[in-house]
Amino acid sequence: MTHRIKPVSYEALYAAHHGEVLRLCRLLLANHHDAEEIAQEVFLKVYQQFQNMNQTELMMWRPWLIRVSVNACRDRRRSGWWKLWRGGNEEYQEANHPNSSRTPEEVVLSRETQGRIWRAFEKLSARQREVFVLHHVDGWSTDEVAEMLGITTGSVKRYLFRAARHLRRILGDR
Amino acid sequence: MSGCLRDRTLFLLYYGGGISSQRTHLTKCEACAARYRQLEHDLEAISQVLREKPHRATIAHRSHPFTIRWLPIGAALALALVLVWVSVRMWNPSTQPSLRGTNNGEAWNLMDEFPSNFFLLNEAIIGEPGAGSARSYNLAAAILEADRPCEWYDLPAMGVTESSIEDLGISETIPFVTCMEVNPAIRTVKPKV
Repeated sequence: MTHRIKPVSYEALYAAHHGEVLRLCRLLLANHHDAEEIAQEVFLKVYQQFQNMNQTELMMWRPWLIRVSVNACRDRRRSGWWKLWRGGNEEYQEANHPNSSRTPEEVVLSRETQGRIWRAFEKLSARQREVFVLHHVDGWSTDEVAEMLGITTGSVKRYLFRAARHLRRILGDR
Repeated sequence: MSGCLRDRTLFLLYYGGGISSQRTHLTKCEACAARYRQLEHDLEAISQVLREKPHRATIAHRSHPFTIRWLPIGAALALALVLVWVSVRMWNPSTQPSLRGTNNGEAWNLMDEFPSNFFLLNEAIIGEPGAGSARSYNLAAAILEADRPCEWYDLPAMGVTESSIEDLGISETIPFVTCMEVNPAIRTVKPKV
């Protein structure tokens, strides 16, 4: 899961991780434009870090990237201007949701249910979102999530339980 | 089945917690095992929805990256306007409109001319039924004299002209209050006869 090799170039690093960082930011901020902006900021930091690194130094880029991204998103959420200007999360629209590329199991989830999941996810607290995304979407273990976020494993499990219970309740209302 | 695991315990087991007896129960109890499988399925479905690449259609993008909250912005603009207006007035007092030049000014002029003791006068005329009309008239005159120059007091009061005062039989012995007595500011004016 962790990448302990230093990429040969910044471009390779960008190609390998940009999508993941962008998705993480999008999930944490619930806004595609903000997510793109934060992802750019993160890769600017990557570039600066890359320039300052010793060529022989090994770097665990992926956890570092996740940590920087989560912190950048948190800073953005705390920004007073962001709170003032953002009227809320982007709205889920069910009408145009494509389902052509889905497996039969995925089709079981109706469009309406998917919309409800998104809306329920957006109502989670920032920390619950971070923990849920890192564990369930990105596949990090609870110990790794705890290390990245600087909290205990027990806290991670607690946040996971609350987030999962809330999201599952939405599915239970089908 | 009694002793079935609670939802919280199922979550705990899912996230790698729990104790061995709970795990054993999970393997033996069909109902709990079904609930656990449902939990796994639900969480996987939720993760799958969140894992998908963002579709333009999944999340509605507005034309503007920010959704403006109009209420705080409107309030801020109104506050700014008030502040500008107040500061302009404070720094340029000559722009303060003259009350005398406006309709309000006319109203103020009227208020100036209105006798300050109008209600006192009213009470003097109406409020003493026992006293004679001449006494009331005299008192009213005194009150009016306190606020007006003597020249004003040639006007008829309550429909009774000065000439008819004599007809009412007012005695000369009743002490009329003159301008000089009630209004010291015009003592230099020669009193009327």
